[in-house]
Amino acid sequence: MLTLVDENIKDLDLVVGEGETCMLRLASFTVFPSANIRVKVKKGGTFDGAFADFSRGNGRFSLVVELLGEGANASWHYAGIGNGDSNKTIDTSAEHLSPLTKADIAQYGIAMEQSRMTFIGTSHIHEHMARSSTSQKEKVIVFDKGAVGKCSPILRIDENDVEASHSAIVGKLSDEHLFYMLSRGIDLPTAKRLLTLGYLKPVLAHYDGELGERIKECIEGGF
Amino acid sequence: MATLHIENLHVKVGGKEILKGVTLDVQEGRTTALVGPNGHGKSTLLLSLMGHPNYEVTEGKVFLDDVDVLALSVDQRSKLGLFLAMQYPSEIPGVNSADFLKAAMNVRRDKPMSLFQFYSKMQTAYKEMGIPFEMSTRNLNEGFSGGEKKRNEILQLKLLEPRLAMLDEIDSGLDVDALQVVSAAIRDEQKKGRGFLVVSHYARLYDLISPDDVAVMVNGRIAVTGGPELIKKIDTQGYEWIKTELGIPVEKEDALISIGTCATREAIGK
Repeated sequence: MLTLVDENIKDLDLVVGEGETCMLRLASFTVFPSANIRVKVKKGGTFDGAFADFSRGNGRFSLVVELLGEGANASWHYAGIGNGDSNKTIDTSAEHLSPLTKADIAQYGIAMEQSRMTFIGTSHIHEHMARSSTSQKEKVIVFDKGAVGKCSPILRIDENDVEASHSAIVGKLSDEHLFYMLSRGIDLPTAKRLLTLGYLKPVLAHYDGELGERIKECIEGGF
Repeated sequence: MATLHIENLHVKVGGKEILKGVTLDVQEGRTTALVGPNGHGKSTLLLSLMGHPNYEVTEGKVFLDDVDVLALSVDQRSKLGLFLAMQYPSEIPGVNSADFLKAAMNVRRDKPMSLFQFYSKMQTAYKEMGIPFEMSTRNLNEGFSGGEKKRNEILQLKLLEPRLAMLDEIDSGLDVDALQVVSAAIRDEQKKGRGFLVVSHYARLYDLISPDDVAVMVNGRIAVTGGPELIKKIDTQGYEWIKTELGIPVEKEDALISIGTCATREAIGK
């Protein structure tokens, strides 16, 4: 397991050997890493990555996972907040270069104040990489007036015998959800906070110990 | 006992006037049945009283005793003592039921409840409503059946103890057993002096909760008020007598046309 907290990563190359598992845990509370991370996963290997991001900053974070060997798989979970006038782009891609490979990408962001948050990336199942599976789920909640959210996940599928799905949601907190909570006497800031926690909390499953507690405090106290 | 006084209330939804001068008094400690044909403004009245942002009050007054309800925000109306059990309760992903209930109960108190106090109140209410306590750990209404959502609305009513509870078709989606549980809970609350304004299309619910007063809404106004005998009359004769006896033609509901929706991928906060 590789855990990096507030590291201003620039370039990082990881190779996951045959049948091995690599866990990457990133957490940013101050510095947003404009990083280029490349991960190569060999036959039967597993890459399990997560990034909890509460930093205030600008830049482009890029992650490319190459699934090189049969049965290689990868999962990635990003949860982050954009605040102030920060401008963050999270660019996450998966390249399926062997049959029977699997990649799951989930990214959740809250664009607050005047911030801009963009999720992009391509999941590409190459020709002949049959029985591979890829999914992308991306969601940005635009929390305040002046904030901007954008999601553009791309699927590129060059083989028929595969499973692929993607979803992109950008929007404000639901008026109906807010009304329901307000109608029970919960004030607007608390209602917004409770609703927003719901989008970010699942990332906690990837962290434990002191770091997990710190991330939890950031999520629960961040609004 | 407090009175909710509604006077000449006009409400527009999406630019169309739905309520066209509603005048009605609802007494705390009494149960008022609000009946009327579909599409004539019953749900609009309840949602407007609660302050739904899509319902624009263009004229009229609403007072709970001497407090101007229309001047209050939605959460302030709740804290004043109004409660709306919704026809279609929202499923709220990521919001834990217990966290939600705790937040809603604590806003009514000077000092937050102790965990012991909160859990014992919650356990009692879950038991009385026949809802497994494990459901308190699930996200609010998410994956609940229609009947479970309605029971959950009454569970909230029991925990939040409003002065006046508005129930919008609380009996829809309930099977026979669940209807018994819900109506028994309403009867319990009636005994505590809670006021109710209840919308339903079915005499069965009213048989079980015995309203004191009945108001019939037609064409966005209260056409007639009276006692429980009005429910029997409507149950056997429908609404035709409104036209023949009172000379009020009953407008037909507009047919709704859906043109569908499409996904949004970019948004700017406004």
